[in-house]
Amino acid sequence: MTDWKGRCRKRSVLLWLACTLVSSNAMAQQTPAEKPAAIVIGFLELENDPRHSSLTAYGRLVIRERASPFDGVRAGIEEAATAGRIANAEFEAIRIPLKDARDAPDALRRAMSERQVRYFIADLPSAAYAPLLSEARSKNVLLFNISEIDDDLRGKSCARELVHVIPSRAMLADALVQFLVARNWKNVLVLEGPDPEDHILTQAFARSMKKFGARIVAQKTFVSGNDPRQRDSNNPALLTASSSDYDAIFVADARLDLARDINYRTSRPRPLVGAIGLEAGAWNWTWERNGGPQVNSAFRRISRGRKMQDTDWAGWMAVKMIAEATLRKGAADFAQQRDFIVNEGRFDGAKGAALSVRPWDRQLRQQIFMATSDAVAGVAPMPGFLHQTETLDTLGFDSRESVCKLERAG
Amino acid sequence: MAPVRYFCALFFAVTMSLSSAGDLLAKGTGLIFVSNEKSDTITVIDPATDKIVQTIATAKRPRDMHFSADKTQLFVACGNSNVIQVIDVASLKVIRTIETGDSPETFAIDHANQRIYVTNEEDNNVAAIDLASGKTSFTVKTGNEPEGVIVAPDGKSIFVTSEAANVVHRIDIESRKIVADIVTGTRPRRFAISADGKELWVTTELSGEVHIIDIATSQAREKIEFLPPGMRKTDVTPVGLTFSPDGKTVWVGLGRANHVAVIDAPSRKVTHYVLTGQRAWGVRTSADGKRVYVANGLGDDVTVIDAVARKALKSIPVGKVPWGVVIDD
Repeated sequence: MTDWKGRCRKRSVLLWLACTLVSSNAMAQQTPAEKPAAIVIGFLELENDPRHSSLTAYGRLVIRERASPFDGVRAGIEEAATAGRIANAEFEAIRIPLKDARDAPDALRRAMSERQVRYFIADLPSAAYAPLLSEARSKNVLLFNISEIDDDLRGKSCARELVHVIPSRAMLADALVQFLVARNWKNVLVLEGPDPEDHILTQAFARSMKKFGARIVAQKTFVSGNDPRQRDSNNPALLTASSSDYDAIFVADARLDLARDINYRTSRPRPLVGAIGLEAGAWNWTWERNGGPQVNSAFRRISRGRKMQDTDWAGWMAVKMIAEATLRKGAADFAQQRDFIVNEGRFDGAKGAALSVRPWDRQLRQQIFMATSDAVAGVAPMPGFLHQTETLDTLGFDSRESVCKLERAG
Repeated sequence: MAPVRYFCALFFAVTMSLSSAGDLLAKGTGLIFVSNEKSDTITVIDPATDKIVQTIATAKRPRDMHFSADKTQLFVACGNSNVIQVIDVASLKVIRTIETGDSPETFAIDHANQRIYVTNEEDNNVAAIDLASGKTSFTVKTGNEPEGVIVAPDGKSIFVTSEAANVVHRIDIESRKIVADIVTGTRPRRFAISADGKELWVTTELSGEVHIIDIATSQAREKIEFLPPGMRKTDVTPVGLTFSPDGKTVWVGLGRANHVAVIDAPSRKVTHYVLTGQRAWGVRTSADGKRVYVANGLGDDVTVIDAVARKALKSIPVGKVPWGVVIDD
């Protein structure tokens, strides 16, 4: 079913036209009278993106495997073959590697004019979006953010042309705090790492704690090292010694610098959440329900053995949304497909709920998994967290809280 | 007196129908079989006492079950062992194991009792297995995550749902090709065919509906939505469904809504919602039309419903994650 049109190295933006990676052919069981409509999806990515480098520790251990989510897009393209056969369309994903994020507007323009690309899946960092969105504005184009969790991108920088498939940082924090509150673990010690990202994580966590009526008993910053003069900040036992008791420890440590050295070295026997121990995410390789095993095993086959990560899931999901719109609205009319995706579309993300796009900020509503290293321990929205219209909107910025007002909620 | 004569006539009619039902019952043991996908067992319940009379160990992850036409054998698909096992109904022992493709979930036996059609959700195909030899005679590629499968009343085609592609495929058996794709709601799961053989009913789990397909034309005709009192649309995730023996009523397990819906089939109206246990999936009515049994996947029990009063009577603890119910009556 999958037709490999040749092996392809990452090339400069000038050469990407020649670089076609994946396409799905209509199954040959029915011979359509007309040639299938080509639905070309551009995959915007940075060359040598540091976000794709695995996190390693001092002893050259790979602590967290990370990779380009293009494998997820490929899984989506393979699965879209059935929708393509029925709608007489052929889905194809082309990689558009950028040397610099500033090349993104030019790449978008060229892909639109030379290959009639209307859908772009963006695996780009936050800073790349402002020029890209200004190029996309008011054009017949729809972008899918599959890797950037930045809340501002859904807030003051939001755009009608950008759908966020990956959950926002606020959604992840809300999910984790719902989990804590549902367990009645409402008093939390916060340990913040030295990375600027760690501070942003802490802020998001603090906001969620306030939102759900939980309490931060103390907040400390940690550093890695053995300097005895800094022992209050680098010694796990001293870091976690607090006069007031707590139920759990939230660790903000994007680089996993110290988090894995804190677990089981705390002064009180309390679980770690956040960077390690229990993490909130869009997907997990251990999800055993709602078709999760099939999504995971197809991905494992396509990626040659990787475990599906959040961004892989989002890449798969973005293609699925495009395929669903094509199945329901036909292959010919982009505007109808786009309207379906952002308005009426109800999508199956293999998480057990129908997912849909929030009208005010174009964020995909979805459940969040709280996972340990080998199990999903909870799914948010947690039982008991209610909303006047849509329970999934207990996660992240609701229409009244959001500064993005693309459309008021019905 | 007229009322007395009327009563006598009614009494006569009831006696007649009871005795014919009695003949039917005489053929079966009346036992209720529940597949428990996480404990690798089938629980056998005596309907007279609602007590467990036997627990049959199966291969890994037993899910869909069907009887042979003469009801002497019970077939069960075991997804994690890639087999269908055959249980002798008289002795309640596994007597045969048939190899399948990867991860069989549901299956159907053809009218001639010669072939099994089984969906393999990991391989994305439906396989036709010759019952006598146990060998796969052919497979047909489907959309991702094929699930429900049923043989058309004329025996010439089968219908298969693709959960991930949101379509029902109609596959012609002779040519072994997909001849029609019927787009449904989101995540189509299981089938039931109306008593007159004209309609195919299919549950769509994530859009919370039942779609009705006209079998003659392979066209989607109508859909039925559900909303039990106090529930939200998003809680409604229908999966299992079954017609009552008289064909007039359809019972639908509403999944996370923890209810079954009762549909008056001719009018398409939802007339009742009956509270069950956690995540109601598999649903089956007894041949006398008096009882409905519901497998509650996340409650590890079966709800027994009085089908006439439309009220839950009791729940019976079974194995872990009960999937489906069949009755030997």
